Amino acid sequence: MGRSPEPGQAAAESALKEAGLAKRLWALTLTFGKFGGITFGGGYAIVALLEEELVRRKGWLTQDELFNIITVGESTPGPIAVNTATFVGYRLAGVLGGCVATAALVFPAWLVIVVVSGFYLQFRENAWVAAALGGIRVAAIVLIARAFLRMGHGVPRNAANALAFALAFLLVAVLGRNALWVIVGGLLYGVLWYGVRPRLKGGRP
Amino acid sequence: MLFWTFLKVGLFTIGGGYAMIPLIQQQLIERHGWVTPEQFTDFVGIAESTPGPFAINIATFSGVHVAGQHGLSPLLGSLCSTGGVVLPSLVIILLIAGAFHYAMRHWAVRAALEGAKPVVVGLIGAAAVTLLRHTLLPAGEPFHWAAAGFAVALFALTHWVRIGAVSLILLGGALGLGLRCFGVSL
Repeated sequence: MGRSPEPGQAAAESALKEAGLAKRLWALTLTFGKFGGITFGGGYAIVALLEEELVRRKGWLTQDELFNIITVGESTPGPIAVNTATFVGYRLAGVLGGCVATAALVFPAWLVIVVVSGFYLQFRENAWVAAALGGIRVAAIVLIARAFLRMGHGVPRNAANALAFALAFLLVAVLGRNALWVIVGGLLYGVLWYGVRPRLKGGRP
Repeated sequence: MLFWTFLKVGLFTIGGGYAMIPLIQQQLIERHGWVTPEQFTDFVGIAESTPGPFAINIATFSGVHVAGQHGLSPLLGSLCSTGGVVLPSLVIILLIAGAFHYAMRHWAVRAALEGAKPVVVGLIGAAAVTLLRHTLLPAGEPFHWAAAGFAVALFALTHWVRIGAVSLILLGGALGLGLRCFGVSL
């Protein structure tokens, strides 16, 4: 009661998981509502936010779980931000949590568009809006770069992984291939390299 | 009608917001004739400059627009289009999340997800580089030195000062406004 939360520790996680359903749903609403209101520029901005806020600060997720969520999100239909919100919500508070987190993520975006749609030409040509967005866009890039470095540290370092990383990066960044097929390729690589290969060599992993 | 159209869009686009542009375009412009190509370009511009997932923004905006054309309430229209685009992924992810715990018991699933890790890191790196390229080298314009300097300064700042993700975004917006006062546009 009235205890100040310890930042970024596992204590926060267990405290939340033991909290009542209403409290968990409220925390999900606040967190994903905030994400919905400040993410610009595509799905990976929210991935970066999840990494910083949910993995580092709140401890709602482990980095491994975040990897799994991104993999699932990239290989299933729908926007990746929505997919991750649903998944995290489900993890913390079941089906209801998934629905609440998704609705909270979508609501600010929906509200802003409904309000702005009446005068969108003025909005688009406003120099101050453009100036703020220019700054936000650069901040989002920095955020994604930070998430990239941190998540890179979470992957075991070996030659095969380095090759898989380089291939994925080149295919998407340089050749502009669809991320879906790259992820499918990654899943196949995993089955063969981490699943089948140790079994062929004999000995149970 | 809107609901079905966007349900289809939500169901058949895999891999994030920009993947759905061609499908939305085809549905709204060619199939139904609800939107002209020029209007669609405006839609994309607005969706990029408002907060939230790109797909949600473009669906909401289309819903408001189409409902207005047919004399319906824009709230109702946008609820249909936005709901339609979200619903497939909500249902699919809930099913997957429910089954995930059981699937993880199988070695092949664990191995596949382990192999996807370096690929995910590659995708995140690619997203950063693609965004950076669009920002620093906008189509038909010279290299954007101001934005490049700003990016380096912001990255250095986060290296020395602990700054949360949300604060960083807000700081970026505030500095963008501040620099505009000095005549520097990002």
